[in-house]
Amino acid sequence: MMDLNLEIENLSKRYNSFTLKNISFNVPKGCIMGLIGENGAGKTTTIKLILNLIKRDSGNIKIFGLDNIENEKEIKQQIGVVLDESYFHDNLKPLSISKIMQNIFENWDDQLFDNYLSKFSLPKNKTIKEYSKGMKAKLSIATALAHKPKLLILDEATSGLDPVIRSEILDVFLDFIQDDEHSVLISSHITSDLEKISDYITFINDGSIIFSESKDNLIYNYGLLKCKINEFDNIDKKDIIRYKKNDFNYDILVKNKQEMKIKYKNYIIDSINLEDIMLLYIKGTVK
Amino acid sequence: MKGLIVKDLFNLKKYSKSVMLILAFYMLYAVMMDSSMFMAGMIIMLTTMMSITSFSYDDLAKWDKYALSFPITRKEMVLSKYLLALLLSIVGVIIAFAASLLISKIKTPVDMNELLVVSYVLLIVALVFISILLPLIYKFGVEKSRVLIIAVFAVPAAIFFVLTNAGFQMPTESQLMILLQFSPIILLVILFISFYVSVNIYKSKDL
Repeated sequence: MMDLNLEIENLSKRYNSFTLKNISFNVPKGCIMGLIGENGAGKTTTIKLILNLIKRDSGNIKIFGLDNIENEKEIKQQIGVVLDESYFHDNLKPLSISKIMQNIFENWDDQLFDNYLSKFSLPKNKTIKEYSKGMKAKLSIATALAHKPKLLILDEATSGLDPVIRSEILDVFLDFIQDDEHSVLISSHITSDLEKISDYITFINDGSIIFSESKDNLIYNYGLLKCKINEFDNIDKKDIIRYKKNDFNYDILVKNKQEMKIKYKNYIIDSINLEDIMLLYIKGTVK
Repeated sequence: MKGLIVKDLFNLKKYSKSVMLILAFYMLYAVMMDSSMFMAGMIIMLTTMMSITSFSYDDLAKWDKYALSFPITRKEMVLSKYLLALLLSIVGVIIAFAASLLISKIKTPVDMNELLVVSYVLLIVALVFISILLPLIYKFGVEKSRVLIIAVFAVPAAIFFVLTNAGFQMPTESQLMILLQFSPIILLVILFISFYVSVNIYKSKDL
């Protein structure tokens, strides 16, 4: 299996109040992996561990088939990163960024950076301080792309932006992935965005991975079974992944939707989107 | 790593303009008092403090986290700050020397050798100061270290005060000259130890 750009195996990190527990998942080449979960679920911790910004307690991370710590410098030449709230200084202009970055990345391409600035209609003679939030986000994405990386890692890159700018940015990622050597790992709590562009979804909750599978499988497999209060006992307990009791009915998260549709002919089983899967997992009750 | 120093210089560009203004004020003061000692000291302190300011700018932008996602090691991050401090201190000494020379030309002439020795001693003091302060910044963060700057100045002054009061003989001029001769080696050792300590503190940090 050398078609993976990122492999994470049994990764753990312990903090006083939070533990990332033995997480494993892979990001194949040519794919977008969406990382979903609540604030504080472990998304940023995972990304920091991938970038070796914090020390792992155990586990392995391989990027482009190489160990992320042993071959750190070599690997990072080929990674583009957008972090939440961590970027260039406010009083710099795009031109300064270009001058700094060409002294950091071997493959930094001034022309390409310039093209992105024009494409995103970002003013070149303004300081970052004068940029709007959306412009800052686009500038940081342009910066991440201008050294022609093979792997893009984005932590909450689209959060807090309006739908127009978000869809513009998502298009850039879809464009990036056209090269089948490229991959994207993107974390967000805006699940609808990830549902739009991701090929795979990894769901982290309270430091553990709930699932990491292809989006199509998820949408195809999971279903929402609705039943009245008095019918709840008719549902086989082992079919219930999570449930939520409403005023007049139960919402039940089930797997293997097609089988369930045969087993529970008299009930409505709806398709379910990523957001509702996530909500039921987090807020719902375990059988 | 060159990119990191370029980044700091870009950031300090605006700040250096206000430093220039203060500088002009001290020069005026030196001309009026016909003594450039105080001015020279202040110029070097100002330029040396600029490297501390660069830490504040980095904190504000949460820069370190971002920079370490680039192909830059933690050792290079620390090294870039030491090189910046060295660069700024040397620039400060050159400015102070030139300004003193200029003032001595229009006011009372000063012995050239004396001026060179004074400039050299000021550079040594600035670099020792940096060697003590940088590890403290890496350990406690730049905001807390601003308070520690006072301590860095006060402790040697206090020791000096206690020693002279206890009847300690001041070193003679020839003893001082010997110290001056060995100072480059002593300084290099101090800088190296300081750098080593800073790197180790920074390497064990979670960002």
